[in-house]
Amino acid sequence: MKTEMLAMILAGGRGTRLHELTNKSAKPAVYYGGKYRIIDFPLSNCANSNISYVGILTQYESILLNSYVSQGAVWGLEGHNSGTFVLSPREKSTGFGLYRGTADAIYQNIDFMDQYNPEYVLILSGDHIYKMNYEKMLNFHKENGADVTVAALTVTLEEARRFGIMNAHENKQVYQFEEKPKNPKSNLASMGIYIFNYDVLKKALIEDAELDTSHDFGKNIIPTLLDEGKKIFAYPFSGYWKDVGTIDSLWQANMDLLVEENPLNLGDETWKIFTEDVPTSPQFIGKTAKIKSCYINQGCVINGTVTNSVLFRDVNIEEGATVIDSVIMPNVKVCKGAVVNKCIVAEGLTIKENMELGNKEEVELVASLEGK
Amino acid sequence: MANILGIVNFENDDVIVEGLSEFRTIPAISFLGRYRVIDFVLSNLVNSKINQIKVLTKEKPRSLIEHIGGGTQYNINSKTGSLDILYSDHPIINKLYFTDIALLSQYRASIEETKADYVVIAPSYMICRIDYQQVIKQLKETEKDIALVYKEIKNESERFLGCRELIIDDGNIKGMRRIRGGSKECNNVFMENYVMTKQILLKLLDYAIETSSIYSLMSLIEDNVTKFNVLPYKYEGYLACINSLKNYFDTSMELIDQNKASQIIDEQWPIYTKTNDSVPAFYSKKAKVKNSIIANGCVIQGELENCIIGRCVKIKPNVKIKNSIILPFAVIGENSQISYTVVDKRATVKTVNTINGDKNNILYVKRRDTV
Repeated sequence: MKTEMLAMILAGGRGTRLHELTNKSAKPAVYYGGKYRIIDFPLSNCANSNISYVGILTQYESILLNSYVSQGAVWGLEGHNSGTFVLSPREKSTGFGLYRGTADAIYQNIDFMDQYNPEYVLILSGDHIYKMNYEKMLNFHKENGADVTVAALTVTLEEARRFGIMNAHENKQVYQFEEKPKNPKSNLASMGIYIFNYDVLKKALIEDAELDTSHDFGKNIIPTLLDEGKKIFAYPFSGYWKDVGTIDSLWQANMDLLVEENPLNLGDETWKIFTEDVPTSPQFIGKTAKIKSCYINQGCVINGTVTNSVLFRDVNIEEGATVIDSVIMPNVKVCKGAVVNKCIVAEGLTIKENMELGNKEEVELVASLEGK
Repeated sequence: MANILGIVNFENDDVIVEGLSEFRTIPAISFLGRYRVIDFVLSNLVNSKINQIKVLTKEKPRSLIEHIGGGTQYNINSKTGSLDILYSDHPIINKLYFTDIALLSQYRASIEETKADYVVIAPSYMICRIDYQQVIKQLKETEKDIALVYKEIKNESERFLGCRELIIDDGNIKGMRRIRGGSKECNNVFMENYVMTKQILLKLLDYAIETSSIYSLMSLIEDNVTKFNVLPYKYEGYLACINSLKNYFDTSMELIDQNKASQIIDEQWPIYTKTNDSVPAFYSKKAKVKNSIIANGCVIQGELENCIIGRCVKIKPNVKIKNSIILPFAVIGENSQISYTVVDKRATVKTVNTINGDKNNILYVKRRDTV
């Protein structure tokens, strides 16, 4: 049977700048927004865009991530002709096939893609927070008769220096691709989201694999295809998009949710973000609780003061405890008299009585309490 | 560990939760914000390692079917286990003849075919935390045929009006009678939980049909309680009975206290329910919330005290709600003041913005209504 579009999510990165949060789990598995993991976003976008087969390419510390994404039912991908498939590096007759780059990871799974006989392949990153209808992007790709379509975020020229920038004609056909240009000519930044005609992709990957390159979509595959005269279009995306690569940006992305009518609008019933359903108790707000401007998940028990914060499931804030401008991950207990100010507190910690964490100046990651 | 078939029984005809049960059966009523009443009995069954469950239904099963589905959210193995809804193949023309016994008899063959050795029959509207493996253990040890589960209460008969009490003398059940309000200090509330072997259940069904075609399980046991070999099994935990709007309201209010609620919900005894994939609850800068249970998906911009707020409820600015239950997807418009009221699912309060009931007169705003 033919598949119209197969999605492949690149989820192998470590996310080094997230420090201890990614010691034992890859960046796509990092928590965000009171109940989600980052990879819920591309996976839910796939489900909402009617994509049925999703391959997830994992590599760095993948035990947690693999077991998480293999539960396709979380995103409704458990029917006969649908599923999530974990694609980790494997031992082959030619040796152990570590993924050497984004393009190489996809190249090493050509056999997987061939099984589904796709017409188009959607390449995604597992690192980004955004909502996007890939079906609309595919329509754009078809209307333009493109070989490749790259989703493009409009950025300022200042920001453009940090991105892969596409210089395009008025009809959005790309004529030049510049990786982190010093003097950007355009503000169309590549989001690392590509739709390829499968035959074009497969040929490009096989050719690239033979060469001594970085085996990277942005650095190698796209520029080479441009040189070959392939039709590449930029698909303009507008909306909330965030790469939470650092502690600061992860904190900021959580704080963005506390703005009323915020652009990510997670409450939109027509484009839900699905995530693992963990049985918890209800959310109990006690007699002494004071809560202002917060995002709080089920299972929390609040008797203290919580301001401007995001709380994941089963967080317990005791009477007399104070939490300000913070992100508190699951199963954390903040005891009486403790103060947590502008922190990201990692899963499962108990902040003891009268302990003071964080300062107002910069975001502090609290990943362990040793020496505190 | 015994192999058990769980059966969730329907309520007697005199169990009516005014207003709420007009739209759905009692098991499907929203409870504590994120649950439905039936989640508690189903979780008790699966936490007692029961993997095959049948749910008896009378009428209006749509909302129940939608909620319980195939049962994977209750941890029931989708291949080796089962969660079936049993409904009558015949139209219910005469309520008198539509009893649990009549319905079970229609499904006699499928009960006989199950692998289970034991059967637990429990109603959905008794909220408790009970491990049925323990009941079966005692049933085996005492070599009795049928266990009837009860709880001893003191000065609480008002909360169990309409229920039966067991008259127990020297460890033996001498009879049953209806609990009435008033002076009695001590009652043994019969929790309408029956535990027996499958063979005994089948015998009971046959005996009932031969004797009277309008027998319910309760009346059959009541009439023969001294004749059958019955074990009174004493339950010691939390118990509430959702058989009226007042009881629904009072039980909900009582369980806002997390210490109380932890008697029936905790990590070791999870209460499973269907996820709605709602976002975490959002509290605005102006929110003031005290002593309440809040479900996910809510947007809270007003003031709440002693409330239970269901999924995806919107509480607009300058709203003050006290001592009330707001069911999922309701919208409480700006400047509303509400107390001692149950606002049903998807209702909107905007024009008439003051609704004040009192402790003994709980008001009810209808489902999908706009007031």
